[in-house]
Amino acid sequence: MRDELIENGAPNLTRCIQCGTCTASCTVFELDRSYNPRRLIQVFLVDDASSEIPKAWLCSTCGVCTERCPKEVWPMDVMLSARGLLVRSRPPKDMPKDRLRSLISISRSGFAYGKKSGLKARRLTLKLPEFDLDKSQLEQVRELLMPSFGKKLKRQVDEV
Amino acid sequence: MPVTDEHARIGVFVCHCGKNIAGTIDCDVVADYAKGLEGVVFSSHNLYTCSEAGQTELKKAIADHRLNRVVVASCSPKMHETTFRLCVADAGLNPFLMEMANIREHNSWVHSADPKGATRKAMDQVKMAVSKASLLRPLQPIRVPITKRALVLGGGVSGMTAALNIAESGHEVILVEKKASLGGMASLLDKTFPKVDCTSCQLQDLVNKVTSNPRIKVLTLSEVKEVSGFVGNFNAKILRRSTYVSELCTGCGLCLDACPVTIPDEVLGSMRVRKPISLVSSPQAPAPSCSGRSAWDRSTVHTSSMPVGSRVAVIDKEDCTSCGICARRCPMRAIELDHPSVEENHEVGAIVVAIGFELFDPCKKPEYGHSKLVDVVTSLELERMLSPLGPTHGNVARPSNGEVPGSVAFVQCVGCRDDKSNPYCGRICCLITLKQVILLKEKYPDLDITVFYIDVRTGGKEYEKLYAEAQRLGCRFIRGRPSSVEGGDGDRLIVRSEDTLTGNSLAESFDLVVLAIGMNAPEDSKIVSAMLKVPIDPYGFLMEAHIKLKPAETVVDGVMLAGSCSGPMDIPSSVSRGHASASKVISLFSKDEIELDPIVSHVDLSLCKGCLACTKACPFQAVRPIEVAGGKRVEVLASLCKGCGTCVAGCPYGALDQYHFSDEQLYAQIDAALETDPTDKIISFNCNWCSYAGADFAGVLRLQYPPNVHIIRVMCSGRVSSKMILRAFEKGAGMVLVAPCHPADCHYISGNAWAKKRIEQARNLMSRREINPERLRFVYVSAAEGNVYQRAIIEMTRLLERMKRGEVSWGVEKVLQEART
Amino acid sequence: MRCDGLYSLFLGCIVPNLFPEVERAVRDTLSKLDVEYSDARGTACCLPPALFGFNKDAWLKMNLRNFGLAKGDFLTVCDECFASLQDARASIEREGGKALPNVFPFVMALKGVEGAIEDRVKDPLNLRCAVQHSCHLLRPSSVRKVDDPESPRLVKSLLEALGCEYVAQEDEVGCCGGSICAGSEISSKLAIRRIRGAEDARADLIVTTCPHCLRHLGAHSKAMPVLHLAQLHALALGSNPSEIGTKGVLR
Repeated sequence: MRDELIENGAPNLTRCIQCGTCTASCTVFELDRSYNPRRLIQVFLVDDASSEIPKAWLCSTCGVCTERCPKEVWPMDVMLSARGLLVRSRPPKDMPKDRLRSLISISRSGFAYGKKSGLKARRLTLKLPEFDLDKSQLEQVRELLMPSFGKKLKRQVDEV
Repeated sequence: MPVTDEHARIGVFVCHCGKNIAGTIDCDVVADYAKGLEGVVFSSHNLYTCSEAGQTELKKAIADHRLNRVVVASCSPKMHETTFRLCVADAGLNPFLMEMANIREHNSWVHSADPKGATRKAMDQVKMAVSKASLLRPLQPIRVPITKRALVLGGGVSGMTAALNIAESGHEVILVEKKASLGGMASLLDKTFPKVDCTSCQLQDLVNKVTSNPRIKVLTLSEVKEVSGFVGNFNAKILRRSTYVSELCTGCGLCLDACPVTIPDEVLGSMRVRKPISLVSSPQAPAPSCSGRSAWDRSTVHTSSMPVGSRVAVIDKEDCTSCGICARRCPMRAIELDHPSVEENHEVGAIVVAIGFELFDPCKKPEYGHSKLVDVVTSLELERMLSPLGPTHGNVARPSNGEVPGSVAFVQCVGCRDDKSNPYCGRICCLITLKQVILLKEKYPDLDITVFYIDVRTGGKEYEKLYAEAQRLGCRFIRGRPSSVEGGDGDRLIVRSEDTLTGNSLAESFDLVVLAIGMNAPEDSKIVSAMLKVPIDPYGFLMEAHIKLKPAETVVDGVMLAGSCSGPMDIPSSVSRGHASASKVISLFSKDEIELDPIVSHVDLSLCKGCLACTKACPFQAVRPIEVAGGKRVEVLASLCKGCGTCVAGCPYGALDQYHFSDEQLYAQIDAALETDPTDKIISFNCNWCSYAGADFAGVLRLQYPPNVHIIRVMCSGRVSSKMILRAFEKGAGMVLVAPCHPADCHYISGNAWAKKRIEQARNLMSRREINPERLRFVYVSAAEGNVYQRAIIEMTRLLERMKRGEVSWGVEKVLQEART
Repeated sequence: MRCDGLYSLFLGCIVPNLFPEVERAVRDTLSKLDVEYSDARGTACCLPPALFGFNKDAWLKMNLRNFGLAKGDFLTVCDECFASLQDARASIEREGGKALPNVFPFVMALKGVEGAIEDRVKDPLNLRCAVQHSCHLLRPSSVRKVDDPESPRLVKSLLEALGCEYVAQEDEVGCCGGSICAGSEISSKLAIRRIRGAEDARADLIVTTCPHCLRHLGAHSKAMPVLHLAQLHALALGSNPSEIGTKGVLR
């Protein structure tokens, strides 16, 4: 687990001295003590993290921890690395539904958000140009994106 | 006498070393063989040449046979070179006319399975030594006089300790201090750990001893601007700033009252202002203890505590507007605002650098709010509050409203253990905090104190007790580095942290927050480093010659280090190092002359073209450009030259050479080694400090390797030029090995880096001449890596075998044939 | 740092799909300030690691494709796009050495034409603005290099140039919670905290430079208007309020 995290975007993970500055500056911890980035990092370093790794989805990505960390651990990147591992696993583990929907949306339209109702007309009124991807562009996007999807997710994409 | 004027009369002495050598090598045969070598008039073998009996025999032989050169074939020169040099000197020969052949560590101990091969190699080794011996010249050590006066930079605890020690041993000292009085940063402290006792008593004692010692000349408000020369013979240019106040000053203080200028105090930060005029303890008549005022703390209050006769006014022109009001006010007309600064030259023999430290600027950590929130103070500011001589008369008060705080928080590791400012640990900040906690609790038993820490570090005698005492007194310890100190709870401060041991989230309010800031290198360290050529580390601290074994010296001979300018440390360590640096100075001054090793380089001006390539290769500034009638040339300053030979190897015109390791001598060894069966042989250039010792160590460990390698000793791998390497191949060498120190370990700093460059040049030349570049190897070997050397030789021998079998190409056949005929 | 030639406008996902008025405001602002740009047609989501994690392979490939479609340095209207593109660019250049176009957030493009703003804004807006500073624009400051992460000045000075008053907030550079996974109580609490703070300080509106904050705060606000900085600029430069989404929103 530790080595995979290091590999996937958290190369400074082992520099942590557990000083607690990250947790002290954490936007989420202030309101919810169950999300404790320092503790999570310790678990990643020395424990079998498999049960706790989904907690990485609780991070708000505000980046204050990384800004204040005295050891250049880049705690936010540790959480993002953990998320990346979860997304890669087949099936994607414990991925929040809204993120799953976004991924599916990207593979279908190129964008993470669907159109708000009446968008086409509104854009015309506002004299805004077309921004949709054409068929070949969408193909390109799917080719780049979908190899990272597991079977289940691929199926979900095709279903909808 | 140069041997060219007369015939060489070389004596060869082959040692048995009990069974150590004789057990493998047939010493009789070797001694016999030696008889037939050119220049050898006497040859013998004996049991223990280094013993009294052996040495007596040696000396007798020198006399009986009128020997003028001696070869001792025995152990490693690193063992007995000095012994035999002294021995031949005793017999009337110049000690540098003796050469050793290492037939123990480099032969009998490592080739014990092959007595025949070992004996053959020993014969070759003797031949090599004999050919060098016939070219040896007598050398006299370079003697330079010593000026027995020391210069100490810095009048803090370590500087004063060093100065006092040197003076008490009978030598003059010039003590230069930038500020207006002595004492350094310690004079700002109220009490010190571990005993939590009063600093000023102890410090004043030291100041008194220094100022009353007739051998110490104290120059305050002075700075060393330039230093030239070398060990024993430095010239220092010192700028003496005027105080603008003459000796007529009685210390009445009227000028201070009249001065209209106020400036925020830079050392003590947010708390107070000061004026360009201050009253300080008179260096001539120091005030009694506890009323001593340091120019380091130019408080505008509390001057009444000093007896009038013991203080003088001092004006700092940097902030002074020259309005002249003080001069008009002075009843003694003692103020002269246009009094010039003076430059003085002093000749000294040794320099002690004791320029101290500075504190971390807390504004660099804006999240802790020191610049925005007035109730956030540094540990030094708290110290000044605690001191009865300080601005608040010893009362700890909130700067915002002057009231005694009900709760105090300490934030540790500010500007320490922090990759964004200083990654190192401040070493004393935990102890300062513990001490301050104890002092606070003494004064204010009901005060709530909390310490936010990452670790509590109490390394030192009696230090752990302070932690226990602070806990016993009820101080709260929270393991969690705060992320910020903010305003917000009325006029109180909020410290946000996690208690990492319970997992609780904390956002607690305090009346006063103290930032435990770390020790930084002083700004001046860069200037001093450039001035004295002493290297500084990435954090600005001056570097010792060896971090473990030579803490009091630097790589520059004659320049010593004392105190916290070399790194964060407590007062006992500073004092220790003051003593240590003094002892190095005293030991230097105990001789009348300094004897320097004569194995230095020298230049033939008729060959020098002034390209100055050599000046770039010398890290000791021993080779310098000079102007002569014909244009630019170079000169070698023998007293600075360390004898590595790196400059020699880089001279494209052969204008430089090295005594005792001359090109001629080294070539003679190469030629002698390759006279027979050259293609079977590996020529190995080993540097005196690392790889030669490493090969010795292989011998000590009895690591076995084939006897076809001949080691040629050089002082530094930088001595090896591409030309030398090519010569070995021209003479038919099978392979050549250059074995330098590991990159950071070179005894001469950069010699091994130059060696690397020259190896590459050699490989290019080899390719052009179609010699297989694989025949040249470059292997880092440290003094402890006997096994690395052994493996390298074994591997190279295997490759040699494959070449002999035709599996790998030699290169140009023609070269070999020429060599064989 | 400034862009030397034409910008290539990278709209991202949110603005064109959910906030077309903001897109109008951006285009109006740029043209009224003579900032030349072209559309980067065909670009797709920049797959921010902040949302999806370091799904490295997909992230770098998608953005390599995006950079391939850039006809100049990118100009982003979303700060999460800025962060994602900037990081992807650094990552790609580190590994492959291929030089890619630069990435500039909207605020830096405005900073580049500060003089023009002063000239062309005739009537000051006179609005009290509370600012939701964008996390991804400021941090980590050693990489983003846009503004001081503890006391940011850029947006403040831009607002003051429009004749607005900058209303300081208690948790000045705090997060709005917009990138926390949906359905979280905490993300709502953070949004409400920001809105309440603005209300307590009697601000007329909350301004932000990132559509994630815009969407999130807007979803939690009843009375307090939440606008993108571009909308204020467009208004001050004379755009039609009904086209840039300020009509009936500001008093």
